[in-house]
Formats: sequence, C-alpha cells, structure tokens
Amino acid sequence: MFSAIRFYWDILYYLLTTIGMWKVFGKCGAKKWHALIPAYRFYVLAVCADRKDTGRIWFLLDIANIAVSMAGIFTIAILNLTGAWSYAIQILIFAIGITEQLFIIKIYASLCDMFSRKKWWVVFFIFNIPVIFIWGISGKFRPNSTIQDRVIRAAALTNRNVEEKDEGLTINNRKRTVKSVAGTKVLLRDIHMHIAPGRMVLLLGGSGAGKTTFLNAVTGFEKADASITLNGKDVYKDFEEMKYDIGFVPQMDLIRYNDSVLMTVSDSAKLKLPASMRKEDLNSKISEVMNIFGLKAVQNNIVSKQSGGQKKRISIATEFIADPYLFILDEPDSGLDGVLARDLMRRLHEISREGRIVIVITHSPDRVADFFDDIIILAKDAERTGRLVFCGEIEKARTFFGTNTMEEMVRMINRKEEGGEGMADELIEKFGRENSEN
Amino acid sequence: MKTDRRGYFRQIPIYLGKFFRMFVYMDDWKMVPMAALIAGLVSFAVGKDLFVSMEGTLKGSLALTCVCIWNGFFNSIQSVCRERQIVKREHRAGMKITSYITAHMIYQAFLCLMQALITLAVCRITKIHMPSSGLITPFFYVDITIAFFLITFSADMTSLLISCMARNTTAAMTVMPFILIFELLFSGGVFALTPTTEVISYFTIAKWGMCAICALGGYNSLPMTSIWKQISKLQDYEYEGMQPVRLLVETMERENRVDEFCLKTAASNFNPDYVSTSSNLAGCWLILLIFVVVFALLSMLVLTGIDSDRR
Repeated sequence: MFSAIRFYWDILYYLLTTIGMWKVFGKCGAKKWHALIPAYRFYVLAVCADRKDTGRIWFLLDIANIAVSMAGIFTIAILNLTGAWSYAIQILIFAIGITEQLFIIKIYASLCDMFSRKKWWVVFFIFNIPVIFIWGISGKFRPNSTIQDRVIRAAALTNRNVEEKDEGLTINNRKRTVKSVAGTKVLLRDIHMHIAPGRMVLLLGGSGAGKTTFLNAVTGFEKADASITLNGKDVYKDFEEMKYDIGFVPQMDLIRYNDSVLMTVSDSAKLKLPASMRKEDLNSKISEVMNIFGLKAVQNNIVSKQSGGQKKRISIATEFIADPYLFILDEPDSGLDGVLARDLMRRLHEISREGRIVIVITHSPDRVADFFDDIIILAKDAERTGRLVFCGEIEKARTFFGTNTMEEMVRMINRKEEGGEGMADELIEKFGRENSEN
Repeated sequence: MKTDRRGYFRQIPIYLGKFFRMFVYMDDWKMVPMAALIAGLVSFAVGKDLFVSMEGTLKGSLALTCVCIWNGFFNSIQSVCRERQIVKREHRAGMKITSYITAHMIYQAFLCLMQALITLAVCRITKIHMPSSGLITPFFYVDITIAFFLITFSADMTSLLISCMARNTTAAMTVMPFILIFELLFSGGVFALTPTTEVISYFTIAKWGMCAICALGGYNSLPMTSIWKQISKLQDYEYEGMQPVRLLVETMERENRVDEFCLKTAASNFNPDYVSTSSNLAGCWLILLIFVVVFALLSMLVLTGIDSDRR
C-alpha cells in the first residue's frame, strides 16, 4: 500500500516539477524542452538563477555519482569484489551525494534571489515539495533578469588593439581568465589603452569591476592574455630586466607587521637598490623616503602598532624607495581622512611630474580629482566581466558621462542591484563605438 | 646598473634579521616555554622507566621523539603560508627564494637547538635516569642533544615544506595532523609493522628518531620487565590443586634470578634497529640530516612556483 502511494507520488512529483521547470525556463529565456532532460535541467535551472558555475559543478558531481554507482554495481555484482572495496564505493557515493545536495541548495537559494523570494522557499525544494510548479504557472513569480538580458552587447566594438609606443605604458589586455572545476570565467576583456609619461591616472570602477585584477595583469603579478609594454619593453617577457621600474602598492598591506618601521623600509631598500650603492647613500635614500612619507617620527616603532594610514604609507615607502618609473597604488587613501588623503595625492602628483606614470585606485575620487590628469573607468558587463567604459582625460570623461562628479559616474555604471543605474553595457558600447569611429 | 642587486648570500642576512626580530616582536618566543611544558608532561608520564627497562625505553623514546616532532612541526607550519602574499610580492621585487629558505633554515635551526636543549634540561630536572656515555662522542648529553636536534629540525623542515605548499594557514593546519598520525603509526614503536608497512616506516622521522634514542639508551642491553610482571600477576593460578606459577616466582626471587630472567626475555626481543653502536647512531643521524636537506630543497622548489599563485 505504502509503496503504491509512493509510486504515484513519484510520478506526480516528476510531472509537476517538469511542468514547473518548463514554465520557469520560459520565463527565464531558456529552452523550455530542456526541462525534459533529467539532471541537465538542474544545470539549466542554475543558469536561470545566474549561477552557471555552480550548475556546472553540480552537473559534474551528478555525472561522477552515476559513474561511481555504475562502477560499484559492476565490481560488486559482477566481479564479486566486496569488503573494503564495497565500503569505499559506498563512502564515495555518500560523500559525492552530500556535496551534490550542498550545491543544489546553493542553486535553489540563488533562484530565490533571482525571483526576489525569501530563502525559506529552499526548504520546500530540498524536501521534494514541487513548489517549482507554482513558480512556473503563477504570474506573481517573475525573474529579475532573463538569460538574454545578461548577454554582452559590445564585444566586437572594444577589441581593437592600441598601437605600441616607445614611451609610456601601452596596455592591450585581451582577456584575463580563471579556470576552475566550474569552467573558465572571464574576469577582464578588451582593455586597450596608452598612457603617456608624466601622467597621473585615476582608475575607477564599482566593487568587483576588476580594478585590482587589471592592475595585477598590468604588472604581471597575475598574467593575462595581454601585451603590456613599458617604454617599448614587454613587461611579461622582459620582467626580470625591468622589475625595479615597476612599483606596486597593493590594496592589502603586504608588509610584515612584526618588524620595525625603519627595518621594513631599510630591508626593502637593500633588496631593491643596487648592491654597489655606498652605505652612506643607501642610508641617506632611506632617510629621504622616510621623510617624504612622514615616517621618521615612528621609525623605531613596530608596524603592527601603527594606524591604518601609517601602515599604508609604510607600504608605499617600501615600493617608492626603488624609484619606480611606473608607480601603481591600489586604494592608497583608504582609511585616511580628507586632509591626509589630499596630502598623499599631492605627493604622488609631484612624483608623476618627474616624468613617471602614477596609476591610483581610490574609492573617494572627488576629494582628490584635481590631482589627476586622466581617468580609466572599468565596469562589469552583463556577464560580470570587467570591461573598459572610459579611458582619457578627466574633462572628456565629464562630457562623456554628462556629469561632473566621479562618484556619479560610478553610480551610473553600477548594476541596479548594487544601487546603481545599470548603464554599464550601454556605456561600454558607446565608448567602443566612439573609439572605433576615431 | 639596474640589475646589480644583492645576490643569494647577501640576501640571507636581510631575512635572517627579519626572522630574529619577529622572534622578539611576535609570538615565536612562546615556542620555547611550550617546549619545556610538553617535555615536562612527557617526562612525568613515561620518564620513570626510560633507559631503565626495554619497554620503558621504547615508550619513552617514542614519546620524546613525538615531543621533538611536535615542536618541529609547530615551529614552521605557518611560517611561510601566513606571509605567502608578501613572499610572492617580494619574489617579484627581487627576493631570491633560495635565500629566503636558507634564512628560514638557519633561524629554525636556532629554534630547534633551543628546544632540544630545553627538552634535555627538563629530562635532567625530572631526574630521568641517563646512561653515562655516548656512542659517537664520549658524552651522552652531547649525543642525545644532537639526536633531539636532528629529529626536531627534520620535522621542522617537513612542516616548512607543507607551509610552502599550502596556500593559507588553514590548509597547512589541516594537513599537519595527518602527517603527525602518519609518523606515529609508522614509527614502529606502537603498532607492529608488516614487511610492507616496514618499508613505509623508513620514510618517517619517528622511526629514525626512535632508533637514535633507543641506540643511545642501550635498548638491547636493558632488561625486559613486562613478562616477569605478568607472571607475578598470575601467582594465584591453580593447576590440579597446586600453584605452579607462585612456586616459580618464589623460587626465582629466593635465588635472586629475577634480573637474569628479565635479561633473558630481553635477549629474545633483541632489535637490530636499536643496536648501540656508533655506526647505527651515525646512520640514524645521517638519515635525519638527509630528510632536512631533501625537505629544504623541496621547499625551495615548491616556493619557486609562487608567481603562478592566483587569487
């Protein structure tokens, strides 16, 4: 009796789920008939929830589970392998099954987000209550965006390489990807520009737009499919020769907190400056840099005891001591008040006037905007890939965006769910079109 | 002139200075009193029979080896992975991985030597009975210090390798217990090993550490007391109205032949791995030293690939 009820329930569940998925796929812009394919339909559901990577991992786990189960049946039932082998197979199936469940929960949770529903709906999904049927047939359940909405629009317009020049920095970053079990994810694409010597450049973009990834690719810290040349030399190929010409101050302070301020700067100087330099010259250089960044008074203190702003200045000093030609700083003014931030930017501006290129990321651009010559703006496109929205002089950026404030520019390119206007794709396309016309 | 930078030898003092300053400013100094506490605990638990009886020496040497391995593991398990991003940055800015690891080796050797001396001092304070002479040097204390040092240092280099491989401290700390269990299982001191697992034990620090300590403690010349103790416990056993075991025990005790019995049982448990010769001890030291060199070289090799790290 119980097994008969179970049998009919299974059939009903499968039917309702299939109909529900059919309708949901329709709402999300996926092929409806994919709801008929077992297992694969959960991958499509993940795509609908804008969680393609999670769906891919889940699908691979499901295939692995089937493969291990088949191997188990073959070896245990046909080859009569029992004992440890049988236990190993069972444990493996159990482990894969648990992981699969965790990933399916992630997919359902993302689906709730996509349909602007509370997360507790996940409970119905995981206990096999066919609520997807309601989601499918009810008009009240609509996704925030369809698969088509998330397709990139301006790819062809922005993939033109910039001509390499003997002076300054030329960036032709075609693509920066990361590979994982979930597949290949494109973090950045089609970022092409040239920056002349003696320019101070502001790099702007919302959170996750790929600013740090872009800078890491420029310095070769994390290589991309790109051609980066500094004064005609390839940064990737000739890095050994020119590594002391590039100074990079990362977002996170990459200094040892349990060392003194003076020794941190001094050790950096010993590593980066020529070994033939006289001791007096070395000490005078260290002293000069300590003075420039206002560290003299705290030179004997431990780094960990310094304020966030001082740590940042120590971080900058350790890079600046090598006299880099290309000086890149990722949020150097984070944690600094307006006065200190302007003071720091003024110093960086002076450095750029010595014929060097200074690139700075900051999240408070308007308070220091007057120090910059050029601006680079990155944004996430529909596929959440970092793209170039604008590159050029600050004044031109104001005309391009139709606004005077940098923060307004960022607001325009940020996605709607991030509180922005979601104009990134439109502006990427506009910039691409204007560039291709020039 | 831009490429004229400090080379391998001139970078070592820079990093060595950093590590010693960190020893003072950071919590690394806490490893020293910790070593004393652990050694004290072990001495209290197994010290009474160490170098007195065969079984006590086996247990005690395993415990002391574990203390050394534990110390070594904790010295450097987080040392590289906790500053992996800094190392990557500095490597791209001209730091030589070989100099960095060599500086680590020197600094860790200093820590290990301190811990070896502290462990020995604790054994002395807790009045563990020590043999009077060494096997390679005339002094037992010198030989045992070297043994403790090499065990600690080779464990230290093992964990340095793990630290170089791990992307973060959590990963390193997750792997460490597995290595500890591996060392314990395949040391040959607790569990009997089959011919296959015996081969695996050759790759453990614990096996060679125990061999060195047992060889120094004259393991094969010590009496085996456990069988006599078991027999003594069976004195009430009756067979056809008689108590033959009691008769045996009383006779042996009356004729002062208990020691002879214990030595006889020990002779039947002779272990060639623990033979007290200078060549055996030198062999153990050499193998531990090979571990040190191999793990250090592997650490250098592994860390050279740090540039390919991705977020």
